[in-house]
Amino acid sequence: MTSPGVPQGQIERIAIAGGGVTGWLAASLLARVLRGSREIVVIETGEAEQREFATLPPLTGLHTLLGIDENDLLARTNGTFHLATRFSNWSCIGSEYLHPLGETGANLNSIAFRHSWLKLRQSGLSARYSDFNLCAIAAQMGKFTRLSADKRSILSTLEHAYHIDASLYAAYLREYAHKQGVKSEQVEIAGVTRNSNSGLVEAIVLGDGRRIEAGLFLDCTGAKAQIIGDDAELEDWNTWLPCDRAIALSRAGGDTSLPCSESVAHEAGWRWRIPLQNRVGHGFVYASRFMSDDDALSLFSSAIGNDTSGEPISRKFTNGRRKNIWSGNVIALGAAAATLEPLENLSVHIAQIGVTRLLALFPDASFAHGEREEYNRLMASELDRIRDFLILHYHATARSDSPFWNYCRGMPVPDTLARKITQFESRGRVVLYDEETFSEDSWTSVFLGQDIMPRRYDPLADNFDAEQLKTQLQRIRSTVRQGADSMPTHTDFIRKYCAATPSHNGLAR
Amino acid sequence: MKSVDMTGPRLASVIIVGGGTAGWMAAAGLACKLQKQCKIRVVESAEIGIVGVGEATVPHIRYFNATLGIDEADFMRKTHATFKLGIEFRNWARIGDSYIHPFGEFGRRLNGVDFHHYWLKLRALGEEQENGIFDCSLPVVASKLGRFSPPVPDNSVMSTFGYAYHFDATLYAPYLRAYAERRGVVRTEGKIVDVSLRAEDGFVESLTLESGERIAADLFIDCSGFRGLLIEQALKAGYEDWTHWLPCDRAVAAPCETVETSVPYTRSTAHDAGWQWRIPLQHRVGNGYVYCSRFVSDEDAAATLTSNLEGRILAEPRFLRFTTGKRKKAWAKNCVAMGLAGGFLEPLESTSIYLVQAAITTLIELFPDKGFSPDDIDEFNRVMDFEYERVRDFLILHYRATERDDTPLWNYVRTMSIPESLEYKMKLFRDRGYVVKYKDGMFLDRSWQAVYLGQGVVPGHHDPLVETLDTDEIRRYVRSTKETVRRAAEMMPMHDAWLARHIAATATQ
Repeated sequence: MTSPGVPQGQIERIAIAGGGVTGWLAASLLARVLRGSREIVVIETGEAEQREFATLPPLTGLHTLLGIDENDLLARTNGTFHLATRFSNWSCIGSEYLHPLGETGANLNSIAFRHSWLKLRQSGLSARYSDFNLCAIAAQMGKFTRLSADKRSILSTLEHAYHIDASLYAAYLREYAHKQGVKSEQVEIAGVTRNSNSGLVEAIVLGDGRRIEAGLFLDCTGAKAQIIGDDAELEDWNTWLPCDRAIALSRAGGDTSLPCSESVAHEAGWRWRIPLQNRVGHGFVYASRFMSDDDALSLFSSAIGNDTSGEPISRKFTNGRRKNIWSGNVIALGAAAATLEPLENLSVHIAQIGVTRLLALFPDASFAHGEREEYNRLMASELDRIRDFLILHYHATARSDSPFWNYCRGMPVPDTLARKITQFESRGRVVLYDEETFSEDSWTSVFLGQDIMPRRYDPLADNFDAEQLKTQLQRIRSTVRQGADSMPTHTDFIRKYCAATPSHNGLAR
Repeated sequence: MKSVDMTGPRLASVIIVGGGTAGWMAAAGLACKLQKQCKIRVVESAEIGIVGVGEATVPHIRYFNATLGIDEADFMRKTHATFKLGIEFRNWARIGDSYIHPFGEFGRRLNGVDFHHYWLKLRALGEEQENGIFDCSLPVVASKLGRFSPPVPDNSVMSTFGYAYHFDATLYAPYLRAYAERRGVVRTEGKIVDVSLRAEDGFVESLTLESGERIAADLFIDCSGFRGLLIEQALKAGYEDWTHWLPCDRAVAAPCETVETSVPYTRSTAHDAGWQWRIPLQHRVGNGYVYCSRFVSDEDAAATLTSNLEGRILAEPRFLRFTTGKRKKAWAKNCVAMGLAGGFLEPLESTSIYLVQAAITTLIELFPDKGFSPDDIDEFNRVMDFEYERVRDFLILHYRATERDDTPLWNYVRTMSIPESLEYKMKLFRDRGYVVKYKDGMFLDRSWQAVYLGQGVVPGHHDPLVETLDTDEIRRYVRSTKETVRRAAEMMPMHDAWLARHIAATATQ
């Protein structure tokens, strides 16, 4: 069936509005997979992004697909490795836990490791859950290596991500995409024109009056969402994730001592620390309802020590996602699709899943084969699971030292999260729905780290007496310890394989 | 941190009511995992026959047996089992049609695109027959040739399939009984004449046997069949009726002598008012006609069955009545219903034993203590609802995706309204060959693919990313897949030869 104004055939050209990490990641992956079958144009508008960020492990898979050499990438982006995030003061002031990557412990028969751990805690075990995770131990000891393919080795339980310089990473991908035939322009966007029958976007109108026509538009312009704009209503998550301001500051002087980032809760939010080879990124996230900008700035300065280098950059945001991330022939990617505070390192991941899903549901020019609805369903579902994971950090707390924490502790949470908390609290069961970003291990680390202690453990753990379990756990712990001992230091690893190339050593480009 | 604090003491005793396949599977499964912790007793009555559901299985049964530590050859010998690579469906979409739903892949993904999209492109060009994609599946081709050998976990085409069994369920139950009794399960012969509930909370307290003996336990597992002696008659859990979508409500079954050569697949042949199964065992063939009593009388159904047997009938036809659906709460109070007491779905995709297995696995994962936390009960019911609903949708697809208009049954199912969840899935496949994936529940996307394509749900469009390869490349890819599959199938031994060797080899050990 052909109705007037509905284009037929294949999409010939894809226009990506906005460069930055999101835009160039989309351009690179599309160019790689589409192999020149579609023309790709990026319109760079000079996106403001957080300058340093941490990533999640799936990004390594994307680099493999692109054929990017990770050592080269880190050398050219001042990158370091990420094995864990240390959370301080979240469940109560003075508390601390690690959310490591990789696997924790080992299942005993079919019994998840946490149940053996829970059972022994009853009889006085003091070791923390993360003491059985190699990434966690290595992160604390400042060790690093890549995972081993040998399943018998403890090194096969490793997993890694990065700390990376955003603008250098974007530049790296830009160069990659250009080599794959992607074209780009640096110019402002003035607006869009639409087909009056179909309502589809026909062209982006540039500041200089030219038009860039395309069949498919990817909006990578960040939270301002210049292309999808008013088309796609925002679902506001402020009621569960009340932080709405961020201040960021880069400090010269690299730090490769620990492959670990930090998240320290304060009275109305939290602050981050992300170490690169040539500098350290600091940031301060807070809820404006509970803290004034002036107080935030002075708390931030005193927390990271007085230093005159660099002017802090402030940013306002609203946590939330678009109800329809794909609307007509425009797809919002990255922050245009969902804006989230940088807790749990999701910013690149959200861009990555957006592009990956697009490839799984690639449209033709008619946009009429159900892809939009399915894309929106899948993205909404994954983003909502991510939302729940973030809310957990705020809600599962005993802090009562400020109105902010009193609010977070007492707020009602989405039913999907409430069920997860109930099940974990009740018997240490981790409920996973479809389209989860975070693994059972990650959920467990954060549940336990935020001090949600199950009331019961799996009765099957009683098939082993406490002595047997103790021996087993000691063995795991010493294996993990030996594994970490056998690894090179993170500093040595970086120096040997991915030392920053001098031209990229400056603080600014 | 808070300490682990048990809400209730461990369960000491379990009574399983009913000693059919479900009852003895539950007894064996629980004995394997919990024999050290609680007394398990099975109450069965020789007077009440067993239904002996599902002589055909899905590959999950192998994990169940492996967990119990059952030796495959020994089990196959004692239950007169044969291997199964899939199910042949005859006359479903149209009279004269035939396709096999295999336990395996149709070709390999390439460049991020599922294989069937490449095939669809060639089909659109008129270069492929309607059922040509089935030549790209090793278990299909092997089935047609009557060949079998087990998969090999390498990366070759020999790793692209799984297998299950056909066995005599009336022998499987005693086989598991012996297993369970060796592990301390006590069998009590006797008819239950009364169920007493605890006054204060309505929990099942004890059962009174015909002999006058009263037996009590902490947990009761109702495997009493359709009537649901505990779950329905005593606890009134309620039943959700799915007859609207799956109108068959009776079956008539009879074994016959084997005439055809040994084949490693089940057959389902659609008739005027239902369908007939053919399950090849070592010593005979199991047959049954599942039909809808609104459209055919019992006499006519029996006549249809007996006139469609390949060999001499070996027993009087037996009639069964059922209502397709599931118990509203399969776990209520201290009673968990499994097998027919939990719900009934016709054995079209051999899921009866799988659903018992899912219930056992989920119960063990959520094994309660004497406190009977509502959290465990809610979660069990949520998980089992998923299982039943996903099988339900898959079964409905077989009826709905038909062109048959030759009888009232087929006219009804072809035009009936179907669950929205299924409507959505079918639309996406019809529009662009996209298979909706999910995490929980039976049937992978390749099973959906097989039934869609086998029953003529042909996508209007293939994935546009197919166009990144040129047509010659696609032709070569599809051709070489067929070639690899054919060669691998021809290398396999004949099913009866492999079976004889497999069983004999260990018999002499």
